[in-house]
Amino acid sequence: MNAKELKAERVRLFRDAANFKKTERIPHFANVVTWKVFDAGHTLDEAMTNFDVMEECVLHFLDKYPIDGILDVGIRNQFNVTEAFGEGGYYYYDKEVIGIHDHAHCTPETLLEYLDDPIKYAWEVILPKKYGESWEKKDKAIWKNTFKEYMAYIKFILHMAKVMDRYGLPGLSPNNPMKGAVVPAVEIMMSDLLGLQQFSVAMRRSPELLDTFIQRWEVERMEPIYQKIRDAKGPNYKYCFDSSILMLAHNMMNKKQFERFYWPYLKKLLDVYAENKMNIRIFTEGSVLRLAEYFKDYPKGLLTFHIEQDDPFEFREALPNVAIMGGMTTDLLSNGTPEECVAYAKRLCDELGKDGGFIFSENKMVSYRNDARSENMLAVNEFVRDYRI
Amino acid sequence: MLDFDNLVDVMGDLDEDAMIEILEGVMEDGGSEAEKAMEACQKGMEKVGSLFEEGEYFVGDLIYAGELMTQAVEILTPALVGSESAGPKTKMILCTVKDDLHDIGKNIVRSMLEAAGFDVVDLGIDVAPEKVVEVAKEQNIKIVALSGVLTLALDSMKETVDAIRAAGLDCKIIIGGAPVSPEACAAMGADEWAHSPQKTINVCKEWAAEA
Repeated sequence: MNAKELKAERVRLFRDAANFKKTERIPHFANVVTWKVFDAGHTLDEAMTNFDVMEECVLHFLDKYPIDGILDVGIRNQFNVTEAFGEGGYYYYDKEVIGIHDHAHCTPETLLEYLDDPIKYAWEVILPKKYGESWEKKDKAIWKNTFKEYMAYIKFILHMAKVMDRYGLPGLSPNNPMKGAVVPAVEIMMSDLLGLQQFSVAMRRSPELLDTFIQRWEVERMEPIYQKIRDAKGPNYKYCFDSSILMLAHNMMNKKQFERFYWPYLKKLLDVYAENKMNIRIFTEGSVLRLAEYFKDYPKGLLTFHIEQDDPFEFREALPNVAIMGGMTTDLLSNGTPEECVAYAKRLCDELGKDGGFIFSENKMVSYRNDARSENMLAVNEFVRDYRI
Repeated sequence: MLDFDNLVDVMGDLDEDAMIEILEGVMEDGGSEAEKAMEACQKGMEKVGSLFEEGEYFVGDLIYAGELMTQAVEILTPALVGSESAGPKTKMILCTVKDDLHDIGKNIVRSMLEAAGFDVVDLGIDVAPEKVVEVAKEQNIKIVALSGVLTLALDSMKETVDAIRAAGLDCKIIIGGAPVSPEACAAMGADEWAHSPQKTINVCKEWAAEA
């Protein structure tokens, strides 16, 4: 089987598993990010700013652990571009850690100002706030150098896309139907505009302002997306899923808040995908099991949840209509023996995958040195690849 | 006549406007009943903790509760500072350990510890073991709470626990955050572990009572 055929085969495998068709084997999607740098014998400061080192780390991982799909091929958190422009105190990295400070770009009162003209708001509010006095001193040479680094970064992304093709690795989902990912209003408010603290307080102190932002976001940003989904007229078989979204903001919300700010709009999005017989992967951080009742009536094949803190067996019991991605805990990968890891991987495959509906993956983004031991990663990868139910 | 039971309910319900109105009423005579008001706020925070445990409240509510408690303290402080009967509080250290920048969970725990009457020395995030030892020695602290979210934090927690033990300090140590577990607690020689702020508060209260 050549790489092109392998890629098509893997897409079919992922889609069948998501659609609760029994597959000949369980696909392994590597939820692995920067851990591969350590596993290749490098440190973060070496790899994050040097494309050659990063590529070496990615190839090391792909050769050592032949997985069916991977979250990241070294293109996340590339710092050359931001450093060329002059780092604004938003992150730091060293040999072992990348840290990003939580900053708020808006207040609840300025949310609509952002929405009126995001580029103007970024230029006049976000960037001056981020860079302080140095914002005024950004001269032509800095801009030119930043652009150069940006183009080098784009080149690297395109190069790594070819590497994925060479290894027969499919993309998870298209960035479309709009340019960029599909982002419900609450997610952009929490992660990009207000920050965790301010978002949490605003849900109590100024809920009407959030409602207004959400209503406008729906009309101006989401309605065109719904139309694009309808126009697509069915699944995109080049990818494992028709869409991927992140669910993070629910971690701040009690049920009443979820029902007010999140669910009506998420439901609308899911309904559009369901009407068009497409599938969607929802990557969740924290627990989503307490919200199971909202998802229980959707047909099999629509939803795949990549779960983090929820017990996968309890999740299957609560939501037998939802495919599960994940399950393999980093607790075990980092603290267990290869035998213990394989025994748990077998239980996952046997109990969750015997009738389809399961994609093997790590429960957390495997990022830090301690998130997994190499011998454990090797053992479960080999087991899942060879195991037949 | 001030209704402190109502203040407990108002805090528990996270009703900011009503809380401010009651506390401003308390301060109208200069705050002669500020201590009772503070006790009511603390009981209200216990109610918040219980509602979190029951699943009625979630993380955002705890963050908001912390904001309300900070406001309550600001309003009552002028009267509380002058109070002669205010007894000594148990001083303790709280921090996110080295190599970890997460502070949301730590800040929630700090608000609830302060609401429970602790004098919390918050050392911040990414705190080196030596710093914890130094402050614990200087301020004769007997309770240390170490927070972390990354698996990497477990190493730093162990280093901190080791450093405290090596310095011969008689401290009770609780570790908290997503990666901690009974096994991790035992392996690093900490005294307790917690995933919820409420458990942290309860454990620290027990230790303070024993001291």
